[in-house]
Amino acid sequence: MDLTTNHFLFVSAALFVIGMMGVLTRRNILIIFMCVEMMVAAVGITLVAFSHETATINGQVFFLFALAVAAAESAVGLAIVVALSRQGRAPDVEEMQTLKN
Amino acid sequence: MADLLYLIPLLPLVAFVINILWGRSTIRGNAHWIAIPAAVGSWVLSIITFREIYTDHHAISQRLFTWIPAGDFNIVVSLYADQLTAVMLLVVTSIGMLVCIYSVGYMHGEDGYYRFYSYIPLFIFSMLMLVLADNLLTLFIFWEAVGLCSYLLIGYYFRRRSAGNAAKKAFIVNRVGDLAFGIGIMLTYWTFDSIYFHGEDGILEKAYHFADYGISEGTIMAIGILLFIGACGKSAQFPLHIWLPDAMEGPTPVSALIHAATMVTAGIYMSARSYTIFIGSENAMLFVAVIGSITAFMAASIALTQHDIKKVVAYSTVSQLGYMAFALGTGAWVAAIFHLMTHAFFKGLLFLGSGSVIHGMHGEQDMRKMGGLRKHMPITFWTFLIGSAANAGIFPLAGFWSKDEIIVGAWVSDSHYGKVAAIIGLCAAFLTALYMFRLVFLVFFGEERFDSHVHPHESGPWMAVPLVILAVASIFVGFVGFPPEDGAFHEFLHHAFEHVHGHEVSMTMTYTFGIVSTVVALSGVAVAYITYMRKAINTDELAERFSGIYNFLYNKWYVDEFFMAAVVNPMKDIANFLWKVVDVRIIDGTVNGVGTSIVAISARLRRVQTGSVANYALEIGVGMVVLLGVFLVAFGNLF
Repeated sequence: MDLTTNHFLFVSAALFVIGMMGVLTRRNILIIFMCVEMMVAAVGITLVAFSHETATINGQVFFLFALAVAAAESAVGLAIVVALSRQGRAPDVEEMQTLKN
Repeated sequence: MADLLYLIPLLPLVAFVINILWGRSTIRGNAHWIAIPAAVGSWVLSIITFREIYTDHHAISQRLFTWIPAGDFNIVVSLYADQLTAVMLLVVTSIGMLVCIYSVGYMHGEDGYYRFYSYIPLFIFSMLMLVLADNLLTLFIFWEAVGLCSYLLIGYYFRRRSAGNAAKKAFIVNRVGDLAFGIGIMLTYWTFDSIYFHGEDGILEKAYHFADYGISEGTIMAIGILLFIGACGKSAQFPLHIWLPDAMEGPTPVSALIHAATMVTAGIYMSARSYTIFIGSENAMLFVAVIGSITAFMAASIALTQHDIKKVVAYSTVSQLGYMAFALGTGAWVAAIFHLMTHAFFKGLLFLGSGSVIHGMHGEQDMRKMGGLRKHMPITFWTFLIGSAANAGIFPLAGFWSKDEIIVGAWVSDSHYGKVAAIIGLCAAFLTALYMFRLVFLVFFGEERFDSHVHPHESGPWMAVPLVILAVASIFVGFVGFPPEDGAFHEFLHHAFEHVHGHEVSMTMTYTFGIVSTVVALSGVAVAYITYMRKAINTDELAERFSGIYNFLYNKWYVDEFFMAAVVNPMKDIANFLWKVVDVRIIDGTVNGVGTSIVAISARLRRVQTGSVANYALEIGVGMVVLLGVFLVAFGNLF
């Protein structure tokens, strides 16, 4: 059985849904971050898969940029986590509800 | 002279501008030194104009500027002076000048002296422009301008509530007439395609030959009646006369100039100016004659019962305006203008005379608190007596000639109503003599009924001189109309009414009516003498016995009450309904309802913002899935 683009897409979809469920259900910011990264990676797999399928380089280049942005984003996110722990607050999203109503 | 025509109205306008700009700060008590020279200048120029028209027998006109250039519709403001205008110019400037002089004495030391001497020149300017207008639209503009001046001057003592109310009443009642006048002007333009009076295409010419232009008589009648309703407002004809007696709240010189001699005759002037329209329709003429005769009789009967000296003279004015109107309605155009002119002089005199009485009595206007003033103010007495006799139509004073001519004119007219109008006119003439001499006897004769601390005094020369001049005019001005129907005045004015073919009036008829009206007037005087001098008839007892009639007259035929019940109160009810139901409930309710419902909806919607990141993420996820689903369903065939 050869590996086709569909296989990559299934893996990508599975990863994406797992990541999304993690974001929705977990309360710990660190876990949520990891799940978000997983979703980004899932989208990356799709991009690379289509890039291979259409025999163009665009998808791979695009993913490299996305990866750089994701790295920057996790740096900002981790900085927030550090700032929170310095204040002695738990990294729990349910606690952070100042935007309520 | 034709080039200088514009100076006649310009001089008072300049006086107005100077006084209104610098009167309050610098000129103050010297404001009359601006107004009087301007009025005198206008008067001199008017005389020169009059002489020129008199010798050359043709109208002069001067083009000023194009006011509204709009395609085919061009309104050029030009001054136009024919014989009719020349007479009006003389009347307006003579009375205006004398009132300016008189007011120096009468208004001395009043608050806002400069205001008085600003508005009076503004009025003279507007009135002169009104009579000089060569088309209906400019006439209408200055028609409104004189109304404005009247409003400002009635409300001169604006600190008094009654004065403010009287000013508003005058303005609002005039609006009723002006609405009809405005519609009449539009209908005129629509019918004749022109608003200019004169010339080949002018409305006078077209209205005279209306059948040739395919215009129906009904249209002519509608225009005539609409224009005359406009005249009713300004010239205080029944039932729109109610503002004029109230207008006596203004200073007395204003009453003399505006509410007796000039502005109130604007309606008569305007009707006479557009005379061919009335000639074209018998029904419009009948309407004018009926309204005029009702007014003449009604106002004369009301004047019998009033106690306020100015109110009596005011109702007398309404009555005399009624005479002019029914002269118009019976086709006696020249007689109407003749009466307008003589009336301006003797009624101006009567108002200035009563002003002198009020001034000498320190503001007292109630005739029951006067009496015996003959000895205290001889000049006022003699001039007032002349004015009263002229108003009563006693031979050979001014009022006799013109009033007699109106009655003869009505009698010989083609209209079936003419003879009725003539008889009503004679009845009103009797009443006129009666109320006029009732006033004279009550004010100047008999015992002194005023309080002991009141010391009546004769007025100073500023006031006395105009009185004497007007008295002389009241004696002699009637002779320009001698012999009746064929005098110099008729010869002159005939050119302004070229389409009028007068009736031959036999000498016998002239003399008969002359004698009849003299007898009628003298019997009025006699009744007044018996009643108020000899006290042979107890007036209180008479009022008691005929209390129905007395109250009807004393309450001015209940016309005010009628308007309150028929117009003012329903208007108030409608306004209240619009305010309390439509505005407060419906409009405010809608606006407030929108506000409160948005607040209520928002109060629910804000619960969506939970602040929980997980919820937001779920919403994003669900939204994405829904969007994807929509795209798949909508564009499914693309994949």
